[in-house]
Amino acid sequence: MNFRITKKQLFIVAVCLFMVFGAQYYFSMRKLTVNYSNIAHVSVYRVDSRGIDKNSKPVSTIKSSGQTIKLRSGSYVVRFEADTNYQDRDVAVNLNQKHQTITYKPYFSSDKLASLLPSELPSIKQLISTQIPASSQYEVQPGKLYHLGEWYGTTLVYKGQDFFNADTLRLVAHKENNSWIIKTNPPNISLSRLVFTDIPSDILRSVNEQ
Amino acid sequence: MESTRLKALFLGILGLLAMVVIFGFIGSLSHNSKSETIVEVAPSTAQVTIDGKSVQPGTIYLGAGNHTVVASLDNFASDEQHITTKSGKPSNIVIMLSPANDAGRKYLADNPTYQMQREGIAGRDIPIAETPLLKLLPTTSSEIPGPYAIDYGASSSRPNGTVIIITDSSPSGRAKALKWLRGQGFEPTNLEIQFNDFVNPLALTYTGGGE
Repeated sequence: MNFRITKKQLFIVAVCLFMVFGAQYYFSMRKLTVNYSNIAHVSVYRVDSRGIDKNSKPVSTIKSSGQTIKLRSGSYVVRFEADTNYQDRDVAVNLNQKHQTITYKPYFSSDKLASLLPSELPSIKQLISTQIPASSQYEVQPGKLYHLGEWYGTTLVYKGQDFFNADTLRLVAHKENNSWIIKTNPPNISLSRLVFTDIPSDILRSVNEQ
Repeated sequence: MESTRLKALFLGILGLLAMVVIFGFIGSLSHNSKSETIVEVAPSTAQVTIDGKSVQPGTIYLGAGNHTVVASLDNFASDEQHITTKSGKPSNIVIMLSPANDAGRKYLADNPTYQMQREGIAGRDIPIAETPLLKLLPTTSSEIPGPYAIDYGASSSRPNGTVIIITDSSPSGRAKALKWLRGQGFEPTNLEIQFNDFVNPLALTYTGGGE
């Protein structure tokens, strides 16, 4: 039997192979949509066994909020470089689902928040001394503003005579309708996100570390 | 001669194509009868085995039944979890390794990406009973000044919740107990902590205005 193959037949087989491998590649891809505001530059890094460092090169960049990119499934870090007065941030993403969306609205930078603090401190200290009279046994530390300046956290350092209960206590306040409200009732040694569920856990953690 | 070579090439390509299609078909059939399982481990450099076989974290397909997952990494406490999977039902395995010594803690400090992975996991509502912390308790320190004891019990405010109890402590002991928890890789913010020996001077005089 004389088995002859034409170039046309070879071409068809090559196209079929291309389609099979192409389909396999296509179905292994994941979509990532990135939304943000007040951000100057967004880049996406793949996290391999060495992690990422300053020499790592991005696998993709995001040109505008709402853009969707395609990536292979795996672990990534989306690096947001913010506008002046806002915080940069790295967001870890595990791409397992077909389509995932991340949204980042940056908070004020620590410099910006520090510049806002002096104008808020008098009303906050007034609130503490009014609502917690026994706080006179404590020295209220300057503390910090958080997020867009609407959260405040500080420590109260004991200056009384009760050695057995001389712990440093922690307090969080929130600005609502232009008035500060104490959210940790009462201040305590350690503030748990399981107890204070309406306070963002990053704030609780920062105050616990003050 | 050329015809023979072309014929071999054609048959080779055809065979490859057939294999891709057949394996793809078998693969899709076998995946349908298995459980799509997402394995998430922090730090992601940990070695993971399922039923003794090494796997990469990510999406894998497990047969229905009981499986043992072990994650290990130098200078970190290994963790073992048991999972029961069902055909066609997705599962998740989440493991957060804790540093076992100063070298492990330095590893996290030097690699913020891995610490970020751990915090991502710790930030979720994983019941504390499923974390490695309880395996380390109770623990005591008789160091002077600042002795403390740490144990755990049922939370009075959260149904099925667990509370970490710090006792036998002075103010410096309570501070050291919190430092010990952090040193083991457990952020106190993620725990409900009860300080048994502490009488909060401000609890008695608080006049309201908060939650």
